[in-house]
Amino acid sequence: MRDGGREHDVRYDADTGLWWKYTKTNLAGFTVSWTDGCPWLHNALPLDYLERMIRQNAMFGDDVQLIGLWNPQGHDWRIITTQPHVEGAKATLAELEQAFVEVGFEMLPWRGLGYADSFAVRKDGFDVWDIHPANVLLTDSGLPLPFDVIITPTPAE
Amino acid sequence: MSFQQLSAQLRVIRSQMPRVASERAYAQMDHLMGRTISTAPKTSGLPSAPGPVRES
Repeated sequence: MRDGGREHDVRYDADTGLWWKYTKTNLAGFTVSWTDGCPWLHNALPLDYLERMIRQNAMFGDDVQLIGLWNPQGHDWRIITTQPHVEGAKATLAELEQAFVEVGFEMLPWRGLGYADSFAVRKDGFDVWDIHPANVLLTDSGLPLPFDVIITPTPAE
Repeated sequence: MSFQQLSAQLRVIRSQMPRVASERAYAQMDHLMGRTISTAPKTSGLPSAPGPVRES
């Protein structure tokens, strides 16, 4: 296993075309919460993580599947999911901004929640964070194809 | 475009994705993340699917 990643360790299974994703030990990725109108990034609870995967499937046509919890020893655990591989060209941040706006997302003013230069968008009651070329591809038709973004409900006004 | 429309279009696009070899999948991940990493497999103890373990 390699050091220094953020949310997962992964393996690719060429026979099925699926990525096997293992959350970092005793972690469930990140989520975004709000204090006094300002968003902040923090470790997510397992339920946050699972809701994020459900939203990923519902909103972005993905097929993330929960495999289970891995508990190799003691109190250590990881959440294991699979996700189909996606192919595409690496987009620039500017291209991703344009793609999200063209399909009706509103740009949010906060940047860097996730990757240092990532941006966030809002649409129909949901906020999408950590939009970055490492997490979103562009389709040939110019649609944004997210595969590793953070999705949270828009807070009540 | 509504979420329903966007999701439906992306679901079709995802279903038409080619199945690629491991080398290509890992190379794309490294490219997207802007890093250069050896493809040499490592022993991790992780269950199930074969192949090298990477971070995402």
